Amino acid sequence: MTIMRLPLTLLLLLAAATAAAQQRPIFEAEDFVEPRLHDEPVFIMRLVAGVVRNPIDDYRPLDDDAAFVQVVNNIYWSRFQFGYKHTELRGKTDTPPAFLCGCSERGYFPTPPLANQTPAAPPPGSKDMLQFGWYRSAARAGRDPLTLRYRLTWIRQPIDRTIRSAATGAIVSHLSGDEQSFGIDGDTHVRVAGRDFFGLLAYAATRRRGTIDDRTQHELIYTHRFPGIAINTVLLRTTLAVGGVSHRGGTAVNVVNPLVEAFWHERHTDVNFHVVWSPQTTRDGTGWQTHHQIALFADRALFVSLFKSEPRDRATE
Amino acid sequence: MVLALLTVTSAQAQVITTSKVDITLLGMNCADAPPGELHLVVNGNDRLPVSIPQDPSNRCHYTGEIPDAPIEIRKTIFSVRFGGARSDCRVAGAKPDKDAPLLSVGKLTFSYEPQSARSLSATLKPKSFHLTYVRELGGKPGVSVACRENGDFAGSNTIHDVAWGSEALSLQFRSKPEERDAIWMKVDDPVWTMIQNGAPLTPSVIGEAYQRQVFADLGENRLIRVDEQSLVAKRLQKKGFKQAVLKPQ
Repeated sequence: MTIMRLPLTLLLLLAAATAAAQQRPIFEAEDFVEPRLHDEPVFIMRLVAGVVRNPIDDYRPLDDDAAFVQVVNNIYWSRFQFGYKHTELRGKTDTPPAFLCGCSERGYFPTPPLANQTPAAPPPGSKDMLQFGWYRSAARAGRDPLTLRYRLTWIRQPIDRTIRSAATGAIVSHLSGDEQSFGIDGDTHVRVAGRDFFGLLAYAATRRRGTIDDRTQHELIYTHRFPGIAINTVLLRTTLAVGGVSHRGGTAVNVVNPLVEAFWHERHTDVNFHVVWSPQTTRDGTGWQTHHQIALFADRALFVSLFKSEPRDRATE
Repeated sequence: MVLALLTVTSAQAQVITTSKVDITLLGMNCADAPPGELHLVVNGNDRLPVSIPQDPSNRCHYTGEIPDAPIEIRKTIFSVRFGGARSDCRVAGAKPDKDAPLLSVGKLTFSYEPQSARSLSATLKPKSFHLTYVRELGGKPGVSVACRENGDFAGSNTIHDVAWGSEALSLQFRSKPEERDAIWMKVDDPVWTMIQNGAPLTPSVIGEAYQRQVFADLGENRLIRVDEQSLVAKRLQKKGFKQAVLKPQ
């Protein structure tokens, strides 16, 4: 049975490699639920809100600070997970109009980055994400089975831009484009010399069209998860992501991204607080650059529903 | 030679049973020994300790009978509750019974450190809920053995002589005794601080503790699983669990 499952897992990973997980937003609360914890389908709606200094979208710096609200809906059913996330990101400054040059070649101001440069991040706005996850149990000698998750992700963000004439300032057109991203990610685990090594391998393909800067991007990133620690009730985790992103003027590793997160649960309100620092170093045709992303955000479950009712105790207080 | 080997083999295979124990306390002046009987936990049954009376002529010495005897001496694990102190877990040695030379007595020695443990009174809301607990101790080679002691009660009761720091205590709150999927919560430093402060262990606290322990102790996947935390708390709420208050005495 196990022998049959392994090729199936590999097949799933490889098949999706032709499509495309995006870089997790710095403010993503982890929605992993061990299937052993529920016999019945579970629905959880969570609100996440906060601010990010120097946010980075899929390895593309936004060059602005932003505030965000995210609603996360997840259904956990048996070994499967269905998720829908809606994010509203707002920058400190509005996206300025683009100006169309009246020259012989069609050109816009501000000029989009060159093909070998890091593309501009899509402007702050609305983003929708659909996810499908599958949890696999991996047997371990003398220990409970380990659960690993594999996910497919689709993200879409509409990108609208007003185009004005560089000569007159008059509105020439409105561009209604979008950016879509398809991704697959899978938890990884190896045990070497009695020590566990956990990580996440993610591949994503992103395509932007109908904008002044239509681009495609492929990324293959491994994120290593270091052992977490608890200092009283504060949890600390660190990860290190390393990988490559296409269309940056090279083919070698061009992303190195450590991340440190402090997490604290407030018991009376059930609100979780997160502080995340993520210095991301990327390389493109102009060399290496480091951007320091810092996020402060809170999340709380709005609804937690267990679909199959259980007999309630004849409890007397 | 063959006879000698057979004798040795026979002695090794011999099962020694007893219904009596002989306990000596070490590590103090006998005048400082706790007065009265001590409570002997046999094979981890923390809810049914056996009362062993003190020898009137030697306060370091206790002898008594074990119900449900005979027990197999070398396969039985013992520990002692003194009221304000507890022992590690040990296996008895066998000595001849002076009243019946063909029989054996389980001979045990324990160290006594006064005021090294505190009993916890537990009160559950609703009272129909069960508290199942496990106490785990490590062993010291040649001295003591690792052991796991269990107990269960409904409503309210006392967990006797918990030596915080030298034993690990885990709790499980169940709506009915046969419930099998209840979550285990280890009493770690933050939970122990709450207990000392008399703060109630609510579903939210239990969900938080569960998540912390999965993240930091087990380290499975190394994720801070916020939805798991909410699910654990919700499941307890749905079963009607309100809170548990554990107070050190």
